[in-house]
Amino acid sequence: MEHTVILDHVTKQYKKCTAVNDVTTRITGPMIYGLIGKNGAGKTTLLKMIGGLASPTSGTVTVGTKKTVGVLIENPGLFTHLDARDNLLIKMKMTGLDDENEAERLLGKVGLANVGKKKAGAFSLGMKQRLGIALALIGDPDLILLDEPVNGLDPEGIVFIRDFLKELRSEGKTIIVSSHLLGELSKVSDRYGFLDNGRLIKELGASELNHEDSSVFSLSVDMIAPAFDRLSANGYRVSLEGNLILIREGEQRASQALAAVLSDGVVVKEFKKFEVGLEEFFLSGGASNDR
Amino acid sequence: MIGRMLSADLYRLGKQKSTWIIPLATFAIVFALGCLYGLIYGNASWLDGIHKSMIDSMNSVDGSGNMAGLFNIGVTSLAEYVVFIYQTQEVNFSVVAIIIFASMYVSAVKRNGYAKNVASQYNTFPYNFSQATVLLVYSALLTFLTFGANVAAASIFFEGIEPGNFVSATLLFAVIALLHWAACLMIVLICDLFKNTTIGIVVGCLYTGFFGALLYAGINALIGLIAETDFRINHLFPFAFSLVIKYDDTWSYVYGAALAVVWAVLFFVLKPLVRKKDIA
Repeated sequence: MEHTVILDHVTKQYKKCTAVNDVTTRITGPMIYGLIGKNGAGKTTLLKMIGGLASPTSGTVTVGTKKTVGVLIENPGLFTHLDARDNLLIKMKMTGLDDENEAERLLGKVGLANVGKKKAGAFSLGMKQRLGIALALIGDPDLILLDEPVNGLDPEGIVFIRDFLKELRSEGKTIIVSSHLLGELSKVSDRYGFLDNGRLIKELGASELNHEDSSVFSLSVDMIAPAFDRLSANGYRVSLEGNLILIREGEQRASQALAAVLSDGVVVKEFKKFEVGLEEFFLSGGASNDR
Repeated sequence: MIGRMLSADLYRLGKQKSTWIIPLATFAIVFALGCLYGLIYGNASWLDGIHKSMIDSMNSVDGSGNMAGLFNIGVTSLAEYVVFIYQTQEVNFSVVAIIIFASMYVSAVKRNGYAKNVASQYNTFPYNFSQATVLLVYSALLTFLTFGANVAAASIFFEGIEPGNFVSATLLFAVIALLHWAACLMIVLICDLFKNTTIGIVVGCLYTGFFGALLYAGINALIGLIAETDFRINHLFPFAFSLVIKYDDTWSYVYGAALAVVWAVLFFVLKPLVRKKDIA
């Protein structure tokens, strides 16, 4: 079932800073949308506004779903003196979904079926995160917002979250997830939004990430220095890595670079293309292009 | 919607220990205090003396200190156990207990972040109504519990203590419970305004405690100096009025109940405003 989140010139201004600055986008699910940015880029604030936890200073946030929005932002909010089941039941009673069987089902879904009467305050971080996700799933929301869901999790927990997100997407849900672990996001997301200083500077589909702008070619030649100088002078994005010249260009530009090197009579030993992961793309400044 | 909120609040109340610990502790403290008074003053002549001076004070035209009445309707009878309760100041203990409970209970959802899970319901009218209802029931419970603790202590040390008119006593303490409820709603607003539970509790204790009484006496004396009037600052604030409500004075009960309702309405008007729109 299709549902949409529309952000129209959304800005969030605090006294001392602008956390989100004129963000406009449209997210149409079902999909997993990865929100990427450095610390302080505005990811959490943006998620809060989508989830109704904060109001934009200007602009509008439109969430096109009649169901509740599931939210897990920052630390999960829990009654630490209550067990997992009671934490779920309080929210379920508030939302009119008072069903103990459903609470048990949700706990089983997030891997907390056997916690028994253990108080939430005694949970590990991973268990608290899972309980937070269970709380977000109450009411079978179409839209789920997850802020750094894998923070502090062990590898098993990270794999669980990754597989869980894919399962939710297969159920027709839209998940907007932010994470610093770019490698993890690249394994699940269908689309990415890059935030920098509160601005949404770029959006890419998963397939576009492996498109020309994000590729790296390695070039092995007999005379590295002249070839490197030639390519740098012609404005190609190149770097030296040992006895290899790395060309960070799309396929067309890389081909032109190869032709330029060949025209100088340089002997090419090897010319190879690498797929760039999300982390390399982000750190190499690939996200800094204008939208 | 209100029903769902009440269901959730009652479930939560039933699951937390403070629901039972605070009333038990309050009962124990008030009973112990009553017993202490009984041990020190435990004779009928002391009670008679206090009884007479309280009636005289309530009937005085110019009124003095906290006992000045809103309407100078003569009081001809005063149940002895009511005298005892006013002497032991048990009303202070019950209202401090409910203020502590109310501050912690209402602010817990925001403090522990659970409000993020229920954002669409948080701080809505049904939500606030449910919380206010819980506090009203709790206020009534604590008020009558401490009343019972005092009666129990008085019965041990003062033989044949006069029970008085049951209906009048029930009405008196029902209105006191309402006023205590309004006082704790006021303190909950302060907790929200300062985004700090501790500040709310401290302000509440000052309002209801020794320093509060000094403040009322001082302001009332000042009012008396400025103008000859029966008006007292106690007539405006819910807990302060509970200190001067006159036994067997119907208009005093009506005014007290009305004052509590006014403060409760203020709570529902101001609660959505003092909390910033951002839940997290």
